[in-house]
Amino acid sequence: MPDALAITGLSKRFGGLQAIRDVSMTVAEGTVQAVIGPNGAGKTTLISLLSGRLGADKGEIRLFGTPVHALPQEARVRAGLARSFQITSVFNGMTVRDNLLVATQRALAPGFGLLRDRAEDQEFRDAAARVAERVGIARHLDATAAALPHALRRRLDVGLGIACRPRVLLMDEPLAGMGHEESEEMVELIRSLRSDTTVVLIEHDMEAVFALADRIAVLVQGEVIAAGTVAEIRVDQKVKEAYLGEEET
Amino acid sequence: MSERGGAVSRLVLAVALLALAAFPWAALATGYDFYTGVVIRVMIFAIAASSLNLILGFGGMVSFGHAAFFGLGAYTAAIAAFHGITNAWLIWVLAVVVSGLAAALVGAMAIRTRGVYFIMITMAMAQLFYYVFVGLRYYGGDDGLRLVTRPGVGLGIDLSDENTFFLLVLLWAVLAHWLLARLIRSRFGLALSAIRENDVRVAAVGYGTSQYRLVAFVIAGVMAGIAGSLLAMHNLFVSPKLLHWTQSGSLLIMVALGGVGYFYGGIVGALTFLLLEEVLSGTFTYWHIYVGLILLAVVMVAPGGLCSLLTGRRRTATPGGGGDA
Amino acid sequence: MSTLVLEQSLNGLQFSVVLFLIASGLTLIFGVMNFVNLAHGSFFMIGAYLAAWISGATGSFWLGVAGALPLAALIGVALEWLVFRRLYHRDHMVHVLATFAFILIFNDLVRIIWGPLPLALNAPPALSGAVSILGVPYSSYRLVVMGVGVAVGLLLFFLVTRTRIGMRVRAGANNREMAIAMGVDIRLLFTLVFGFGLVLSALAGALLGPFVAVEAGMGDDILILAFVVVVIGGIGSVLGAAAGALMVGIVDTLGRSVLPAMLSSVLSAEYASSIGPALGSMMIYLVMALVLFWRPSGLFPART
Repeated sequence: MPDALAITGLSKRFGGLQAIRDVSMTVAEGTVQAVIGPNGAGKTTLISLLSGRLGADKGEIRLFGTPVHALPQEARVRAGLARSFQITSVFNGMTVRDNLLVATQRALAPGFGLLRDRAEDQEFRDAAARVAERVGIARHLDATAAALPHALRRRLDVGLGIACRPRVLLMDEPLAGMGHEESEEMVELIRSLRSDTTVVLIEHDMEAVFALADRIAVLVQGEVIAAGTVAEIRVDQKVKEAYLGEEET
Repeated sequence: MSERGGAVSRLVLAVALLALAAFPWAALATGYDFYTGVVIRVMIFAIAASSLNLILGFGGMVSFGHAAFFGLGAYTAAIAAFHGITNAWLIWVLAVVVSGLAAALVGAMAIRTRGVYFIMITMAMAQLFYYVFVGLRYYGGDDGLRLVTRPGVGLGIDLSDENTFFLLVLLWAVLAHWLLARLIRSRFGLALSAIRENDVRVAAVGYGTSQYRLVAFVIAGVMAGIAGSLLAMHNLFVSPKLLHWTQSGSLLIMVALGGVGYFYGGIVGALTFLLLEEVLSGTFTYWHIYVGLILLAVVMVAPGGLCSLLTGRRRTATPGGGGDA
Repeated sequence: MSTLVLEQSLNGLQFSVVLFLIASGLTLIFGVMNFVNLAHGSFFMIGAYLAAWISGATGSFWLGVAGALPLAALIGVALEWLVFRRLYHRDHMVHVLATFAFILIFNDLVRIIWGPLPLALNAPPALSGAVSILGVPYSSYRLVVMGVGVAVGLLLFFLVTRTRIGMRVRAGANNREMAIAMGVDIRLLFTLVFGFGLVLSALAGALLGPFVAVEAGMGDDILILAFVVVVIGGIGSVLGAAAGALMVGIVDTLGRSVLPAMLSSVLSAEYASSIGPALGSMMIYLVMALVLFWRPSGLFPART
C-alpha cells in the first residue's frame, strides 16, 4: 500500500537563497500530516512545490506511488492533489455556488464543454451544493463571494480545494485570521476531512496542530529538523530551540 | 431569471429581429434607403466588437490587435475575389482558416505572457500583419484592393441587391451572437470568467488556463475574420488601414462604449460608435477629439458603458448559466 | 554599398538613441506604476510641436527645445494629477482606454491649434555641416542628437542606480508594497516618474523634429516601436530599454534602408522598393517574437 504522499530530497533555490533544502517526508493515507516552523521557514514554498505552482530543482514527489513532480499544476490536481490558500483566493465576483461549480465541473467533466448549456449539468451543481454543505456555507450559495465575512470566505477557499475531489489536500494556514470560535469550527471541519482525504496541514496555531495532527514535521530555514508524533515533537529539544530562538530575537 | 421573464425577453428579441429584417424595405419605402448601408456596417462591426468582448469582457484579455483578424478576413475575401473566386461559401471557409491560423499563432505567443506584455504583443503582432499588406504591392499595397464583383452564395440569390445582402449580414450577426450566447452559458464560459476573476486559483483547481484562453482567442479571431470578409463584400474594397492598431483601438472603444462584459455590449457599442461617427464627422471638422472626450467620460464615470446605464445594474461575473435561482 | 551600410548604421544608432529616450520613460512608468501609457507617443508629438512653435517664434532651435521641455512637463504633470492618478488602481484595460482617448484628443488638438499642415522645425544652422566618420560625411546635427541621447541615458542611469530617488524608483518598480512600507511617498514618486518620462518623450520629439514631418499622428507609429523596445528589454529596466532600443533602432533602420538595396539585386526595382521597407518594418516584430520565445519577460526585466 503506497503512501498517500512520498517526498524525497526536495530542494529549491531562489537566486542566493536555498529556500528548501533536501526535504523528505512520507504521509500515510487518511492521516493529517502537520508542517510547522517559524516564519520564513519555507512552508508556503513547500506547498507551492507540492502543488506544482513552482518547479523543484531536485527531488521527487509521489502521489500514491505515481511520480507527479514533472507534471504541471493542473495535471497534479486531476491526479488528486489539491490545495487551499493562506491568503484567501476565491472568485470574488461570483456567487458561492458558481465558485464551487468552477471546481466541480472540472473535477467531474473532461473537455472544454464549449456549447452545452450549464443549466443542463445538474450533476455538477449538486456536487457543488454538497461541498457547500460539507464546509458549512450551504446557506450562502447565492451570495457573492466578495460579500461574505472573512471566516466564510476561508471556508469557501477550503471548499474549492475539496471540490477537486483530492486524494491529498494541501492546506496552507486554513486558520489564518480567524477568531477563537471560528478556529474551533475550522478544526472540526478539518478533522471531518480525514474520512475523505489525506491532509497536509501547514499551521501556526499550535493548539490546532496538536489537536489534529497524526504526525508533525518541523521546518526551519528550509530543512526538516524534526519529525514524529505530537508527543515526540512536544519534547524535542531542537524544536524548542528553534522556537525559543525565534522568540528571543 | 424566471421562466416567464425568459419567455418575455425571447419574445422581445424575436420582434426586434423581425423588425430589423424588415428595415431595408421600410427604409426604401420612406426614402431613407441610404441608411440600409449604415445598418449593414453596424451589424458587421457588432460581430467584430462582440468577438472582442468575448476575450476582453469575459476572458479579461486586453487585446490591442484584434483588427488584424478583422483585416485578414477582409483581405482573404478580396484576394480570393482577385483570383477569380466568387463563391462566398468558399471565401468564408478561407476566412475562417486564415484568421483562425493567425489567431492561433498570435495567441500562442501572447498567451504565455501576462498583463502589460499581452497588450503590447497583440499590438505589435497586429502591426506585423499591417506591414505585410502594405508591402504586398501586388495586392494593392497602401492603396488597397478592389473587389470587382460581390461574391455570391448561389441558390438563385442575388447578393448584389443591397436588401438581400442586408439579410445575409443579419443572418450572420444572429448566428455569431447565438454562438456567443452558447459559449457564455457553457462550462467553457464559466471557466473563462473564472480565469478573468482569479487566474491563480482557477489553475489550482485543475484548469490549463493557457489552453482555455487560447481557444477563446481563436474563436474571437475567427468571428472577427468573418466580419471582415463581410465588410469586404459590402464595400467591395479593402485597405491595410483595416489592420492598423488604431483600428484595434476603435474596436476597443466600441466595446467600452457598449459595456465590457455585457452580452449586448458589442452590439450597443458598434451602433453607438458608428452613429457618433456619422453625426460628429458631419458636424465638426475635427471630431476625433469628441470621441476621445466621450471615451474618457465613459472610463471615468460609467465604466460599464451604456449597457450598465441602460440596465441599471452591475454586470454579473457569470452571465447566463442555469445556476441562478 | 559599404558607405550605405555605414551611414545607415549611424542613422540606426541615432534612431536608437531617440527610441531610448521614449522607451525609458515608458518602461519606468510601466515598472513603477504598473500603468499602460499609450499617450506616451502623444508627448513625442507635443514636444515636436512645442519646439517647432517656439523656435519658429524665436528663430532659435535650442530655445525651442529648451522651451518645449518645461511646457511638456507642465502638461504631463497636470494630466497625471487630474486624470491618471485616479486610474492607477484600476485594471490595464482602463489605462489603455483612457490613454487612447488622449491620443485622439491630442491628435485633434494640435490640428485645431496649429492647423492641419505639418510645421517646420529646422535643425540649427550651426550644425548643418557634416563631420567625416571613417571617410563618410555624416550630419553634425545627427551626431549631436546621439550625444544628447547618450548624455541623458548616462544621467538616467546615474540617477536610477546611484541616487536615493533612483533607489526609490527601483524599489517601486521591484515591489510597490515594500516601497510604501518603507515610507516612500508613493504619490509624489509617481508624479515625478510620470512627468520625467513624458519630458524625455517630448525631448525625443523635439530632437527628431527636423527629420520627420511635425504633424498630427506622428507619435502613433513610434509608440509601437517604443513598446517593442520595452517588451524586448524587459519592463521596468532602463538597461533593458537601452538594449532594446539599440536592437530595434538598428534592425529597423537597416531593415528599411539596406534591405531594399539588397533585395533590388535579386528582385525587380519595383518590388524591391515596396516589399523592402515593409519587410524591414516587419523585421522588428520578428525579432521581438524571437526574443520573447527565448525570454518571455524580456532581456533584463526589473521584476522576474
